[in-house]
Amino acid sequence: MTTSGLVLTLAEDPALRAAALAALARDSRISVGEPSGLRLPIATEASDPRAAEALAEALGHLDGVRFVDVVFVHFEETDHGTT
Amino acid sequence: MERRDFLRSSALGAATVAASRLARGKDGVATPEAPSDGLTWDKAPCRFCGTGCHVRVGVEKGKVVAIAGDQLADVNKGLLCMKGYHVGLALYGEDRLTRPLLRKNGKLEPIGWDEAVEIIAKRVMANPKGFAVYGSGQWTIPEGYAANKLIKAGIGNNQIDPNARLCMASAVTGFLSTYGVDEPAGCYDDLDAAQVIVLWGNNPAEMHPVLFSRILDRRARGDEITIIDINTRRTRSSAFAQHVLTFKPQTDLAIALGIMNVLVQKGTWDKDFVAKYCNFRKRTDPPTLDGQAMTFEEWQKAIAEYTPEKVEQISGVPADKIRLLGELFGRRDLRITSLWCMGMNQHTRGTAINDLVHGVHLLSGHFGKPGDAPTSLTGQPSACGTVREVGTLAHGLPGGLVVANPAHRKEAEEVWNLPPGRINEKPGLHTVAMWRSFCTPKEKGGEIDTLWVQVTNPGQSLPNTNEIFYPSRKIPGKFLIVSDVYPTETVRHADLVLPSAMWVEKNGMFGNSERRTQQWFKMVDPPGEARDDCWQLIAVAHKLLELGHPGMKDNDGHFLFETKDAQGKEVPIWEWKHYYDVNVDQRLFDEYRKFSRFKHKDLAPYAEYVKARGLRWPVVQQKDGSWRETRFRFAKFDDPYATKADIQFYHSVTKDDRALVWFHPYDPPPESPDGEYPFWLCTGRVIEHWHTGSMTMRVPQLRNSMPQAYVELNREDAKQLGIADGETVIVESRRGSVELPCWIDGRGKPPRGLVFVPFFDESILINKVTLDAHDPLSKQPDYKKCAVRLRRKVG
Amino acid sequence: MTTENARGLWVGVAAICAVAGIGFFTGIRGSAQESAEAAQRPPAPSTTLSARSYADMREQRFGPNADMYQGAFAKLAPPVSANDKVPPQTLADKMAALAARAKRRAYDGAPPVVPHAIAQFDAPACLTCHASGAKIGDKIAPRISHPPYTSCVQCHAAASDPRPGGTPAKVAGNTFLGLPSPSAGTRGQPTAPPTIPHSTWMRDQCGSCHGPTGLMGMRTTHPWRQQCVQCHAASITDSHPTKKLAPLGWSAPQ
Repeated sequence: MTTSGLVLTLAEDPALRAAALAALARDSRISVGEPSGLRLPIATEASDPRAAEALAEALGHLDGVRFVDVVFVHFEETDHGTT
Repeated sequence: MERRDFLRSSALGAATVAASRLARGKDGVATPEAPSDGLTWDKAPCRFCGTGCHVRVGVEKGKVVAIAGDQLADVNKGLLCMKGYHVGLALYGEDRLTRPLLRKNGKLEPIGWDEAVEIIAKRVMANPKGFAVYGSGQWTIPEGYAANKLIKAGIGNNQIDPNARLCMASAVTGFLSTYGVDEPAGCYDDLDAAQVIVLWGNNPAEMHPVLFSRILDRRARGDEITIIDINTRRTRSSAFAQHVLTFKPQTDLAIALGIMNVLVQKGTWDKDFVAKYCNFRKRTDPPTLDGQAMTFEEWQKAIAEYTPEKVEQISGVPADKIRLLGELFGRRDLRITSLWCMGMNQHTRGTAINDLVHGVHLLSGHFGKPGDAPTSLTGQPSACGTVREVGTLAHGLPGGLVVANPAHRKEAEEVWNLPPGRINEKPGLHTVAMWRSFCTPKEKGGEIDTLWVQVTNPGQSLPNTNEIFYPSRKIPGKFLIVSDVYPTETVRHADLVLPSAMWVEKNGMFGNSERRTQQWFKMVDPPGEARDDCWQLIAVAHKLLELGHPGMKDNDGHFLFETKDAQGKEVPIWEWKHYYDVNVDQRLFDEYRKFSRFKHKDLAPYAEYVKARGLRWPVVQQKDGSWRETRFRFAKFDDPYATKADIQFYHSVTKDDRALVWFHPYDPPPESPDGEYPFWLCTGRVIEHWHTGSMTMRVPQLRNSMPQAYVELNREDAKQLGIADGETVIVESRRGSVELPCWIDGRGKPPRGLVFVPFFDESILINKVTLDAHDPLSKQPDYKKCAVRLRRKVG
Repeated sequence: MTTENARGLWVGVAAICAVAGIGFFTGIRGSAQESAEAAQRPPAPSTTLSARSYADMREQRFGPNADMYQGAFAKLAPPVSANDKVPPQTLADKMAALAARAKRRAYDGAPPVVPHAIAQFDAPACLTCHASGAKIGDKIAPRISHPPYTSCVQCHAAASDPRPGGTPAKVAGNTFLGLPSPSAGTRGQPTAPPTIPHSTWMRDQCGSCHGPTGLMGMRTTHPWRQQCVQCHAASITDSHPTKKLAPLGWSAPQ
């Protein structure tokens, strides 16, 4: 299991932002924190680092997300073999 | 599952911290139109010393949050000192005064503003002659102008004097007696051109750090600059000097005379300059600003006895160092700038030493070319602007006019639209006399019974406070009003306390040491019920009008401070809610400007100062309508009023466009160390703190660096007295004593027989020890020398 | 000033620093462990300049911060080269570095306070170590970021009371909320070099903070590239030094 902390910078357009937020809410791997302006902190869980990276990348491609910063990544011991 | 939750919350926590941090970033790409976090920048001169640096003030959500050096400012070119960088914090001490307080049964209790204003007005009505204002070189120009007008045009007793009396009065009398008009001819540009800098009892590395850097930075760029430090103790400035001359207190007079002697003996004085531009003078008994004429030959005879050897005997400075100074001044190929501040001004012979240093420059022709200047520095941000130019002195009127001169009174009455004869010809009491009067019962002739202090802390900064401050607090009927921002020593002893707005909590203007007038706008609101000092004065004036005081109306029956809006309708600026309906500063300044023409100290319209980082007067309008400042006064190449010769002293005492070179003999000080009190005490400042520390002691970065006063002691003296570094010492004079820790080889190094104590610390009031002896002309007390004894505190 | 890079001379340079009596270590006094090491340390070999032990200096109060040196020399390390390997840095490192910086500054842009004892009198002595920067053990003297300005104590206040003895009176606190440091520049696109998020006024030696002796999290990942502003553009912070907004209460005349 790989747990990540990400900061999403959301778009200024309220409609795009709402769509992105809705997409995040639908995804059970994602926990959403308190936004700070246009910056939204989230935590993600994925089966392994590769999946975590793919998820982060996918989030960056959402229309309402301008930018993704990875700020925290935790790999469980068991992950070592798989990366 | 628990571990997984923990990890998830850790990840989210890190992301949340990061998000809030990132949100602060000036992120133009990810959020090109991101709502601004509201940080705005505006200009203001620094609140502290007389250097007059400009700062950029960063304001967010109604609070000052950042400070930066202003790159557009000529004075500091983007650099500041540790006080300047932390000036924004001075607004936010936790114990800001936020409500008017009245002493009831010995305790200060909150009251309303209406009541406070009425109390003052009623006391004035009860005894107008006994009312006095004690002001400040930290008053803004419009504040000082309003106070001066209230007293000189309204109340009519001329009882107004400022704390600047304690700080640069001797510089004023020096300029007046030498050039016939106040304030330096040169400016800071001289520091960019001088090859020799002479520091006369001056420690700019700590007191005017940005100016000192202006010199040192040239050195770092490869310029050769000789710094000569003439001092009574070694300081941080000495560490940068090639020559350090330590003299016995008071004997700076002999050093200046010795330089003149060498110039004459070697025949290296500037004969052409002297022949064209100088007359000679000696003092009279009693001394006057004009003195008595003497010929050059008589003058030469008078200084003949001050040979380098004789000067060595008097001052302790080796004769060859006096010769070195004489030889440097004798060279025409060098540019020499002298700097001085409190060392020469807080001196019972302050006028004399100021005259002599001007004389050295005139005699040697080191005057009127960039880099050749005798320049006095000021300690307060508007000692020049508000005190010297606005004339908030017991004898002064705005623009360099004086109450004793009938023509000047007439000019002022015309500007103020007053009935002829309104202005009183009798000067009021100077600072020491004013406070002595306040400390003397009425039946014994102490006529001042209501004293209103604004923007200063005399309980800590007056000399000899045991005699001229505290006694008033025990005499019935003496009422002390204090407008301030923090509970200072003075506030603690006040009967009525008025909470004031400070610095960028109000509109303001300052005038710095180099004739530069500066302007700023209000940027944040003052806390609680704190209000502008200027409003306080106008509110009291209007209350006096309501109570029928005849002085509050002009010739046409209008209020002295009548202010109209753009439609010509009167704005009730005495009501706080309407005070900022118009720009009162601008109205007052535009009226005051008219006075600036009388002595060629021309000021530009207010709007010009809004655009500029200050302008140096005379500011004269050009043919194309633009306004041009003057850097080098009396010099034809730059000063539009010097038209007849290369150098023209157009306010000459002798009315012949010449300056006066004085002879003043060396005289010993009024109190010298003796068997009973064997040490000299010198007081002064440290870089961290500004004056009485009421602002800087509330800035953690500055307080941590210097949290308490100390006594600086020579290592050998300490050994002899059995005092170890850090031990508590009792410093005692004939007037009072303090206890404080000693510091050996710390910030400064005094010679044997001299101790130094800074005066910033309100828990160690060194001015209980100092004496109030003062210069006979400037009335400025001597804080730099008196006799004390020291002993280790036992137990 | 010529930077002395010969490693063999480094011990001597460090000893001169000590004799000059000025502090430069960013750390505080040596840890207990360091002190223990120092106590066990054999006397300094006579080939170094340090004829006296540092303990001796301390007893004689030789220089105001002589005790800062204790233990540090046991860990004498060679100067850091621009070619040294850069360890990986995380955002957590960066946050910690920003927090450490904030501790010493009243607001973003304020001159930092000096975290060690200094010579009160001989101000120019700071440059003995800070002119080119130094690292001894885990203590770092950052290189001056603004070389033309050399009156150091004009702006940098000591972090703590420099005097022996004394019992300062308690004073009221301060509620100033300083502008926080920005944490990152902006990128035109994800692979573009970020802009400089802070003012560079009077600071042209980027390596002072971002070089190989900088705090972890703020170091450059490419120390061999020296021409920082070739790729990293100034941010808006510097481009409008005179930006003027309408003040409260009153608007400027036209």
